[in-house]
Amino acid sequence: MLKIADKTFRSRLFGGTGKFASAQVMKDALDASGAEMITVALRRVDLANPDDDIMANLDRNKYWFLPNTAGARNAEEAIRLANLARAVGNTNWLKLEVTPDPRTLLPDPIETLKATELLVKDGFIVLPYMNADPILALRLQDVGAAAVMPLGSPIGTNQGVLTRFLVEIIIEQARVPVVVDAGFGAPSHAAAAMEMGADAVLVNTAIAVAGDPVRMAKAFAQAVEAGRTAYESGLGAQGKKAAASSPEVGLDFLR
Amino acid sequence: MRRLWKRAARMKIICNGKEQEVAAGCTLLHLLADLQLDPDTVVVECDKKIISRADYEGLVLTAGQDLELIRFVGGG
Repeated sequence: MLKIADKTFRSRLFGGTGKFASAQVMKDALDASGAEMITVALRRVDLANPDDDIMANLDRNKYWFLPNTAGARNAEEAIRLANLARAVGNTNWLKLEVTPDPRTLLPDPIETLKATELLVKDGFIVLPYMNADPILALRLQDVGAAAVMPLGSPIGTNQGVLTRFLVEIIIEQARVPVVVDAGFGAPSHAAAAMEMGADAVLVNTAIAVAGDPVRMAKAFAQAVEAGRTAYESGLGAQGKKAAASSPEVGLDFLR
Repeated sequence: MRRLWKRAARMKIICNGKEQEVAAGCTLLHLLADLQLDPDTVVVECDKKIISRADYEGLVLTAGQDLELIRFVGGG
């Protein structure tokens, strides 16, 4: 079981709710993913579409909501969004995102650290989206982050865990759960992160934009489970020299 | 006559960046109902201050107020 703050989760796959073609597809895909924790964003109500309400489509008893601060470009904006999220969602859980550059959507480490510290002091359970920087992960943990969310590759790029070497160090050092977030393009990418020992992964785009999002969600769920089981089972050491799997003795009759 | 005029009185507020005409004396809860919004899933900032849901009914809007109506949307 995964434990973050005082909450336990059976599923190690966290689901995003963005980019789905319809509310029904989103509901069905989340259901197939087995995710218990799901992210949502905050935006102005579109007054021309008052019925377009995601909360009408998601069961709060089934999912644990993790509002994000996507769109914030500095700590101040993130804190404003965090307070709005707490008010609308009756939750103090928060995926902190501070991404000043819309081209890369890479997180600002200094603003993220600053906001994490202030929000933790204000009673939030903060899961910061961060660069795969092992020192930053320790700093975030020291100021009270409930988990750290290093990026595999930039949001929406589907490139997998390009930060592997750094994520491995983060996992080795962390005292809080490590949730690898962003950039997963295929179930194999998620499995790879889980095999490294990640506590969970957060996937949105790869599922939402798949030809069949519901089946893709299932595939990610299977990959995450396989990767976790492999990690817990203890993977064999890698080497460069071949080592035969079949016995090397008992071949006398051939020669 | 005077009462009728009062009842019909309108005022302007700013709602999500756009000017909006509402009845004078309108409460925040009335406004949300007029906009067909579920008060349980919308958070309101009035002049940058978050309004607690318990206060929606008692908050009488005044002309020129700047409201932001925010809610959850899909996101990663």
